[in-house]
Amino acid sequence: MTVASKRLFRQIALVAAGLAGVVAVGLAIQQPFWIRVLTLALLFSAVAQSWNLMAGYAGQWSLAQLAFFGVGAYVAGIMQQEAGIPLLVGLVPAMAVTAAFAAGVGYAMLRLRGHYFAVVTFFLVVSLFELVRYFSDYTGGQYGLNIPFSADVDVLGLQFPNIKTYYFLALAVATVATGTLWVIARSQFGLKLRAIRDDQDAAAALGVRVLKLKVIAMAISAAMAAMAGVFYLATYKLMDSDTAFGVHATLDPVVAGILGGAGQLMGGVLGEAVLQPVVAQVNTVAGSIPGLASLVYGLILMLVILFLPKGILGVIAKRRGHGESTPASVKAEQAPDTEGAMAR
Amino acid sequence: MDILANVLVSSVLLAGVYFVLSLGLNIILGVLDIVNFAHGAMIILGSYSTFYLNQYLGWDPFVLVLVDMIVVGAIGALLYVAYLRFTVNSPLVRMFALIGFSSVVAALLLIFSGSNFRTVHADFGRWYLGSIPIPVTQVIAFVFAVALGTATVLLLNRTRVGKAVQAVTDDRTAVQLLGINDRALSLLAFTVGAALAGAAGGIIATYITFGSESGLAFAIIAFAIVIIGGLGDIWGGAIASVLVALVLSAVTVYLSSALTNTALFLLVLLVLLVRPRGILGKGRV
Repeated sequence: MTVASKRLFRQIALVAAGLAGVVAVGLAIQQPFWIRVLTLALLFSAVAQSWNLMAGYAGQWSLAQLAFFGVGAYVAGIMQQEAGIPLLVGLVPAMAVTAAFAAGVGYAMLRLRGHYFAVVTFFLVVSLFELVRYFSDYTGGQYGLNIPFSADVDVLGLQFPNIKTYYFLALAVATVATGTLWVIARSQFGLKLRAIRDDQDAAAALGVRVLKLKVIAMAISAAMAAMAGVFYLATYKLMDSDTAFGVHATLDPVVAGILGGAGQLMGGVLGEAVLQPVVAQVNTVAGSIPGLASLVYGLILMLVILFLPKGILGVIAKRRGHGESTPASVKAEQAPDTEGAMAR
Repeated sequence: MDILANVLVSSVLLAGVYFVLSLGLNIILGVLDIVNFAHGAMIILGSYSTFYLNQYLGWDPFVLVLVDMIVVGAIGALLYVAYLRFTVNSPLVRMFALIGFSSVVAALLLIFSGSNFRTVHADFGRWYLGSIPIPVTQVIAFVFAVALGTATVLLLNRTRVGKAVQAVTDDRTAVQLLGINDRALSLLAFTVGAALAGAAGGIIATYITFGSESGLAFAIIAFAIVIIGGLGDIWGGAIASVLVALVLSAVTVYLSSALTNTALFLLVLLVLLVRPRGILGKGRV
């Protein structure tokens, strides 16, 4: 075996073991509370992986990934409500619409670099929040969009009486998202994205069509997030403006992505696996104090950036002396300033 | 015709305050190359500082603007010294750290101060320009804002430190080669930026009702002004302040107050596509 194929073999073995573990956990757990928490973690890890694709691999630190999750859910939900199209049938159109929308806004926004791009993606989020509230005839406004609950099994409508079914659907969603990331990471396209991330000007000089590739990456990441959004709607029968476009919701995939490791294949999944149980525990212990979620997300974000800027997997990869490269954005960008080093 | 005149007058008065809103953001952006995402949090801390000091000490809201500058400036300095300078030296990462801080501030305000909206009583009656009523409080706020803006611009143009700040904005490496201490300058810029945000918050508090989440709304306005005016371009920011104030008033009056952020988003997108360096073409890309 060559070194490369050994590594591939080890990766596949690890993924298979991980999947088997998550399936086993799903079969073993009986408390509805934890099934819900882990279902949420799996769905959000698809969004965190879409953030990982944009930020970790392409170097575009988007704040709009959860918004794309919301757009996907709203598109599928409105098609279901207005035209009676079952959720599973509406899944692919919803993903396509969200991807097209992301490509359209991305074509304008991706001309900006670094933190300026992040700021306009934030504008997109607050604008979507307003629009969803404004067109309340279709979106349910502040009360959110409801899908009627059915006690019978309906595969096309994604209606299942057993909540564990949704756990396994969420697992499938997370697996598809991570698989997509894996395929991209190993492709020419992924290589070019990393070239853009590490030095956009150099990549452009070498003939990489920077804007086009960034737009494609954004469309794919939006479709990944939209897929999670449709299954979220199927699981909880509700999507509202705070879940999709609220401030701390917006931070969720970002916090998870950084925590797990931006630019690491399993970064988003590991981040959510840690983040969601923590958030659920804090909510249980402290009761539902308004503002608590924002406090938890804000504090975790501040602490992770201070102590673990490369994420859990980034640290592990560094210890082992190999693994995928850390994004340049997480390294110091301006060499002359030695402040950070001196302070330590 | 009356509505239009009203829109124009209130826009001009608002623009003065918006200019101060964007000034602190521009200075931090210029020197540290960070989009200070905690700008809204700092603005609203200024507003709350005015609210509580006015309530418990009974000081005049316009005197408190100066106190707010000290309070929020100190918070900014502390944030920089105790946290920000220990983070990875990348504008992007630091911006996300500041997003975290801003989320924490909004949450703490909500938890400790409640979800009530706050008003500071500063009513000085009305003047009339023909038939158009102009609240005197807004005029004083405008004067305060313009005075503060002018003082800041003068300090930037006439003092050695101010010139150093502008030099770093233009060319960081050259400044370091000249031996100017850009670490001290970074701390100074961050503190001044925070103090200006606090002042803006104090001025706004004199005539706008606010709550723990209002910081976000002000930050969005400030971001829009800074992008439209050109990143780091203070004069562009002044012109953009007027433009943004006009657009916001017009959207509120003629369309819906529930669509202001969308209008700003579209305006920002348009400017980025047509003039990516801002309206004067002097900003960064």
